[in-house]
Amino acid sequence: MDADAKGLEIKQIKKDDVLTCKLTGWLDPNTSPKLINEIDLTGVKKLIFDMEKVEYVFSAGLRSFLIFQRLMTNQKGSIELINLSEQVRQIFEYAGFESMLEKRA
Amino acid sequence: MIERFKLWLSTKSLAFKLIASNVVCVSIGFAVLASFIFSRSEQMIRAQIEENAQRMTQLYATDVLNLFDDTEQTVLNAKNALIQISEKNEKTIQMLLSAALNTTEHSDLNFTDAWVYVFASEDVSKGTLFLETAKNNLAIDFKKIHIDDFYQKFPWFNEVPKEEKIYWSEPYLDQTSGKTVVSCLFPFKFSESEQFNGLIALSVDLTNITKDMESFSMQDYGRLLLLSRDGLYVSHPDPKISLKKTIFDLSKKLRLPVLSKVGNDLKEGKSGIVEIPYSSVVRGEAIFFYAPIVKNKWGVCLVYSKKRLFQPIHEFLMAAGLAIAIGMAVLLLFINFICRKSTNQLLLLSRIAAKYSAGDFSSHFEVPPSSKEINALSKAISDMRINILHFIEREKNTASEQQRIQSEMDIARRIQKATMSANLPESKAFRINHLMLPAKKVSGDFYDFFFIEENRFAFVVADVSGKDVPAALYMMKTQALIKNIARSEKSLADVFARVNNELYEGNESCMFVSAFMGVINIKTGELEFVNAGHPHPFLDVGKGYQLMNITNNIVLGVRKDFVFKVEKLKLKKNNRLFIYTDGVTEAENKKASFYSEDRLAEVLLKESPDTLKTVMQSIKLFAAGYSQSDDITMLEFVFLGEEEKMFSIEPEISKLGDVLDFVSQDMQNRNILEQKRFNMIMACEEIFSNIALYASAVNEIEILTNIEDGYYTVVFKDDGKKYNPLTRENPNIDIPLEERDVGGLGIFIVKKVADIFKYTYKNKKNILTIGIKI
Repeated sequence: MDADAKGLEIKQIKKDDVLTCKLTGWLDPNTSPKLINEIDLTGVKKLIFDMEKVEYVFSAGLRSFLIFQRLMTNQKGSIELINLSEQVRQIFEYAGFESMLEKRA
Repeated sequence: MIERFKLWLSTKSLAFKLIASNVVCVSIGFAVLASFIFSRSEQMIRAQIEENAQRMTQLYATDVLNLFDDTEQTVLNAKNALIQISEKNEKTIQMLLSAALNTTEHSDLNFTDAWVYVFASEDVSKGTLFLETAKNNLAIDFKKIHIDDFYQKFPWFNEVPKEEKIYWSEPYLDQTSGKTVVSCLFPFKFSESEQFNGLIALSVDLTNITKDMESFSMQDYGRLLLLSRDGLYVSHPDPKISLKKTIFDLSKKLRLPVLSKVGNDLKEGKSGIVEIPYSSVVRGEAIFFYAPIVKNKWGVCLVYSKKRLFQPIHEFLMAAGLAIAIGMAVLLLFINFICRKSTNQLLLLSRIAAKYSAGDFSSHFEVPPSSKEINALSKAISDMRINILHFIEREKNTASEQQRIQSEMDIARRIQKATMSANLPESKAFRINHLMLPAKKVSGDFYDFFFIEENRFAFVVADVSGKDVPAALYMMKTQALIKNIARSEKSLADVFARVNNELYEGNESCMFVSAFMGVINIKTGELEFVNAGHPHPFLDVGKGYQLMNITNNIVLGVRKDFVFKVEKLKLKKNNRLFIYTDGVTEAENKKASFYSEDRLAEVLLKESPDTLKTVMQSIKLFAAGYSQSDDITMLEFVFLGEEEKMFSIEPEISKLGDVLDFVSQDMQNRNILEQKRFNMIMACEEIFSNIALYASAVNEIEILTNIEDGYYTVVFKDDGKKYNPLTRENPNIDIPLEERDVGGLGIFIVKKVADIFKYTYKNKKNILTIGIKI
């Protein structure tokens, strides 16, 4: 396990009302608050998380995404998670979060 | 007694024995010879002496008798003349007497004196005695003596019987002439006269006869004696006896009744021979020959000194004895010399032999040649020395050869030992105990264990038929074959099939191998095993060792292309396997009974910290010093499963990274697949976070990881308040996300990703076990 992966890096790209966040690392009780705190949803209609470089999403991470789901619903927007690894996708499916995920090709 | 004598004799030297036996034999021989010679000589001498004695005694008896006869004749002549004369006066009587005396035929008669007593008157008491005292000079004075004076002078005269008969007196010593004389008396009557008119007496000198006898006596060994009527000794060398003692007196004095017998015999006119133990005549033992002079009962005795008589024989025997003694002494000296010489050499040889027996062969010896026997012995000892030296030399060579073989065997043993126990594998998944005790230097048994693959571990115990070097060579071959083939063949059945065929090829010495081989997956505990005619191992699956009931198959190396049946078993943690060779069960004791499978089973059932040592002690106790006949090999395989790993940490969420690092690293070490690792990390994160964030009164969390029974497990132990997370309700995942509760997801995910999720509370600790099938 890569030591750096324990942290979390967020790269935000805003284009019109679409905010794409590229996440690197993992989402645990220590890193998840950072996600909530750093992302500004003002004027965002569509929130996209690029999960390509996310190794693990633990329940704390799942809860963060649930919070974003609610926030986006409140401002009539939507949320989508893309480029999930098979294993991480499996976790989201276990939790019943399939609706958040990018539809399989 | 005889035994003691023999024992005593056995300690004596040869010389002593030879000398002693010689002395005894010669002495006996000499004694027999001497007694024979002695008795024969004695007989001869006796015969000769007797003849001689008879002749001598007769001769002297006749002499004496003649003397008496002549004397009597003279007396009678004188009487006749006296009777015829009418005028009886001095002159006529003198004439008559002279004439009578002179007419005696034997002029050698010595008359010492002669009397004619004529009673002058009728009255005897008034008679006048006429005496004549010289033979050759008759012109002697007639003495007239009164009869009373006469009687007074010659008292014995009264004893003369007054008869007209010759009367002989006992001999006596004539005082005037100093000669031994005897008197012949004749009382006479003048014709028809009633009265005795007178007496004629004539004394005869016996000196001539006694002298004659004495001259004979001068011959030393014999003496002649003359005995009178009363047994009086007329002639005797002892003057105290001569004319004084009778033979009867001496008989009484010397207490020799035999003398009285002689005296009586002579009186009775008998002759004879007697032996007397002591005679005063010869002063010693004597032989008496005696002959009577019948006429007047006198006797002649011839006394021989026995000592003198037999002296020549004695002297001869003495001389002979001396000669023999000297001869024998010389002989003994020779014997002694020869014996000493021989025995000295024997002693010398025995000293040499003793030296050799003490191991000193350095000196050759020289014994000067002496006798055939000694030379033979000397040569034999000398040859023995040479042979022993050769033998020692040969032994030395053999010994060094033996030593070389020994040291090579030691090297072989070391090589063999190194082959077997050099590579004790380092694994925490199992433990191997092994013990081998070869009966000889090298063993025909072997055990081996090695990794075939990373997780597949093989162990073998085998027993090659036979013992010692051939078995050891075959064992090395078998061991190498099994190891090499096991690494290239996947299937255990194929391994044994190939090993079997390889051993079968070129097995000219018809050897074979019994073997048990097991291959275990140390991750899972799955054991495959094959048994080629080997004693069945014992298996302990938690209830103590039990004999395994497994397929036998055939021993290796005897049947080509045999298909070996492989069996399977799954070992759990602490299951054990005990494999051994028949050297264990067939260990013998003095009574030739075997240690047996039953005894082994009994010992194995007992709990022991060191199984092999306990079994070995039991075998030794059983054998009780009886020498080991077969190699003893034992191997114990204990399956420990995966090693448990432990990690302790404070219940801080900030430590989450450390916890996950530990588990992640552990899984990588245990080669857990990536997908499995992901799931376990997921589960561990949820559990730790849950405890760290929500549990109360927790001081420390213990994390233990292991592989058990095909699962990788992680155990979380905390000392916090009792709480079973499994009781938490699962979140409803079917409702829209907007309405979902944010809690309860963690435990739910654990349930999803883990194959095992258990909770227990033990020793005041919450224990959560998560397991993933691997």
